[in-house]
Amino acid sequence: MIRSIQKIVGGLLGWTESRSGLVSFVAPLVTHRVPRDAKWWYVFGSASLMFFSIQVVTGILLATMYAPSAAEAYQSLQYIDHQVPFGWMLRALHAWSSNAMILMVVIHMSQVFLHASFKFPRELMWMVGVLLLFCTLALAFTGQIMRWDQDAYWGLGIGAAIMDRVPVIGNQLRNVMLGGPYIGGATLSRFFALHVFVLPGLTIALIGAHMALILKNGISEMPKPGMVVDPKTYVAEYEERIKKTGVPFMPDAAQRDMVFCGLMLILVGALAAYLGPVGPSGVPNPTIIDANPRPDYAFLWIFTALALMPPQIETAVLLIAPPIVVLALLGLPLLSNRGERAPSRRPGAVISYVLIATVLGTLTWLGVVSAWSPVMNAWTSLPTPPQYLVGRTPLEMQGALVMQHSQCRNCHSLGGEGGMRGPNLDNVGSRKSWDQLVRQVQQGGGNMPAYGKNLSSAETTAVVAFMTTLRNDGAPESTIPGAMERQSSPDQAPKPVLGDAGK
Amino acid sequence: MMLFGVILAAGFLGACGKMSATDPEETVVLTGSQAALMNYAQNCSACHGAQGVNGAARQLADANYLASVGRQALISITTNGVPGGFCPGFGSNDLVNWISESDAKTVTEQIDKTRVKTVAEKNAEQFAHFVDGLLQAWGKNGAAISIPWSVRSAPAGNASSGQAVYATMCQSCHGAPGTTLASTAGSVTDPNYLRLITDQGLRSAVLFGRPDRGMPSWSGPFPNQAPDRTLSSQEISDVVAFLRSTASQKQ
Ligand code: HEC
Ligand code: HEC
Ligand code: HEC
Repeated sequence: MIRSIQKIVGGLLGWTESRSGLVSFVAPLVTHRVPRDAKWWYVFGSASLMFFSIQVVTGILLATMYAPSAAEAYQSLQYIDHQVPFGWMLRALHAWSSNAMILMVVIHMSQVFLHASFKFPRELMWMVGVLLLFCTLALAFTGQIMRWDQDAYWGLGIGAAIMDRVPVIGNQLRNVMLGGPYIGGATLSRFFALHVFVLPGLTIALIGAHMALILKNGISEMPKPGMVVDPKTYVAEYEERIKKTGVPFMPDAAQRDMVFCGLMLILVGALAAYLGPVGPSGVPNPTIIDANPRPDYAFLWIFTALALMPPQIETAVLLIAPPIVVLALLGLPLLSNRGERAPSRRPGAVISYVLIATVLGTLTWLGVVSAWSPVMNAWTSLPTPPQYLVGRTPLEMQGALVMQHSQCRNCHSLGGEGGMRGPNLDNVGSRKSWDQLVRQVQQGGGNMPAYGKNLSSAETTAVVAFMTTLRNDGAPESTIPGAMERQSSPDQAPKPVLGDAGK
Repeated sequence: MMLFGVILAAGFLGACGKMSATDPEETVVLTGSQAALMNYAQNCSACHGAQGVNGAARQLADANYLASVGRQALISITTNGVPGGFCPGFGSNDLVNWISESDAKTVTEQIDKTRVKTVAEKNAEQFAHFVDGLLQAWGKNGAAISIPWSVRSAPAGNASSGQAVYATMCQSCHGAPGTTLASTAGSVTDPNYLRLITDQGLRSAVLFGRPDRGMPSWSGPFPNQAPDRTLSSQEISDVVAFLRSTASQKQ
């Protein structure tokens, strides 16, 4: 009896194997030999893969409940958070494991860079890895858009602004990105398709290539000073050494991978349970220019760099830097594919790594703590200082209301309260003329959004009239210079219904 | 497998500590009026002034005003704002952070799995509690005045009779229509100003004045007028119609 079962099962397996070649495909994955000294340094790649798998699983579950339409996205997240059993945990896991994945990818990449594992014959592995880094970041960026809240608007706003600055085709690029001139329903559908179909598909394909290359070239040994990579002899030497001293991946190296991945899993699970899901922050309201500069951590440094850069060079840097960074990363193994691998013999590489890490770290840290970051609830919780309202005309009072309502104080302080991203406006009436104020409000500039289309001419006039009364001596201006003549601006349409916006 | 168990356990422990994104244990429980004032500070004070006075938008800490507007209209404005004006509605936001005892009950019910409230339902209740708290804090002994507050229940206005009312009752402070010359209280016929304020806003301004800024209410006293000269509901409608007409003439 048992015999015949064995026979049937064996037969079935044999049949499957002969048709699919599954075992002969998987076996090398399990048995391929890896260098004996490949210790804990090598676990980060596996951990990245594990977090990606978690993203796939939690992502599929979330996709079954998430409504990718501008009208329903926010509500559906509320629904997942509050009504689906453990829905919040699912969102939390997806969010924190995505952060963990970025972290693992970055550490993995640092290790490969510092140990110069990208040298011959693993150049292609590095390049695929760089593409995977971009895929990971793109997934994180598009993922933060899925929350469809104010942060999402901010991320998109910056992205659209960057696109807009490309010469000649800028407008078209922005339209492609947003699905129209403005952030709207089409934008969300677009990013949803990217986030759940295009990018994961691409990532899985690239991971496949990355793995195939590992099997083909083997993983590198720990670098030793004096052990030089020479493309002519390297492959033969490596194979010789692996044959002599290597160990099979299963169970030797895999054990360490599993222990580390397990620990990371527990950590991220605990983090998710303790901190809960990320966002969504406030409901996005398309009529309010959102000033929340809190993109997710991975992008905080970009934001800080933009904020600190002198406006004159911003466009140039925005357009020139990204291609340079991409080319430098991709081209690195071609520029240096032979020679020493040990960090102690490559001071230039180590110094540049430390430099880059410090700059990125500092920028991120500044993004977190910076005093110039907006105060998001300023528009509803910080009263206009009463002394700035004494003796003002009704129009100037409306100007004070425009300033609150348009969230100027998220970035600008009055009476010492408010954001510090832009200069304080306590004394702006004596610094700037009427025309300069109008231009600043309509056209923005220097990290201030252009309010042009978002404020009617009456609103612009009112807020400028209010600002002209903000002077050192605190004394109000006796008249509004030329307020009546100044409504020549093109927009004479009735005031949009602001109180109803976004409902 | 064991790993998975640990994760589940960790998740479960977290869940017990949290239940949902709103943790009732973490919220401070206050009396209705305290909670309302804190919500006011968070959501309204920027425009209506720190203590409900001396803001850019109208004074709300005024018992008779609150009584005249009425609970229902106050809830509706908190939820939907003033359409066409700068008063934002909070209906779609979850902005209410401090909850009172009665709200705490709402939140407990929300956790009760048998009956989960939608955000809209929850907000409707919280906004009602907010307005009740506000009425407790600022509306004590308030009495509704005899003249209707809402433009919808006000008589239709006549701009030309309004012009006469303006000339006698308002001009000494606000200047002749269409001038931007210095006047004590600033122009109210500036077309830009009129494009920003609603008819309701104008009616409320004339009816209740701006006590915090020296603008008289319907009951006066008005400069150069007998001390018992008051404005009627009709006169108020007329003057509002007149102010509107000055803006449309311009355009
Ligand atoms: C996203 C943040 C942000 C918001 C929101 C914002 N500003 Fe600005 N604003 C800035 C920054 C940054 C500058 C400095 C620009 C520069 O360096 O040239 C600035 C400059 C100004 C200036 C010139 C001040 C001076 O002394 O040079 C004025 C006036 C001004 N803003 C008014 C406004 C008004 C009115 C609003 C609301 C309608 C507003 N801002 C909203 C960021 C902001
Ligand atoms: C005693 C002087 C005085 C008289 C008379 C007077 N006002 Fe006013 N009015 C003021 C003052 C002071 C303000 C507050 C101005 C400010 O701070 O912007 C004001 C404000 C207003 C506002 C703006 C309210 C707001 O919040 O935007 C309107 C509208 C207005 N008055 C209409 C009238 C009308 C109509 C009349 C005649 C029925 C009138 N006023 C009579 C002094 C007066
Ligand atoms: C962005 C500034 C702003 C904020 C924040 C704000 N308001 Fe207002 N509010 C206004 C303005 C401006 C008006 C007058 C609108 C008009 O009639 O043109 C107004 C009108 C009102 C009115 C009716 C006044 C009348 O008689 O016509 C009430 C009641 C009111 N607000 C209550 C609130 C409450 C309660 C909150 C907080 C939940 C709040 N407002 C928050 C600006 C604001």
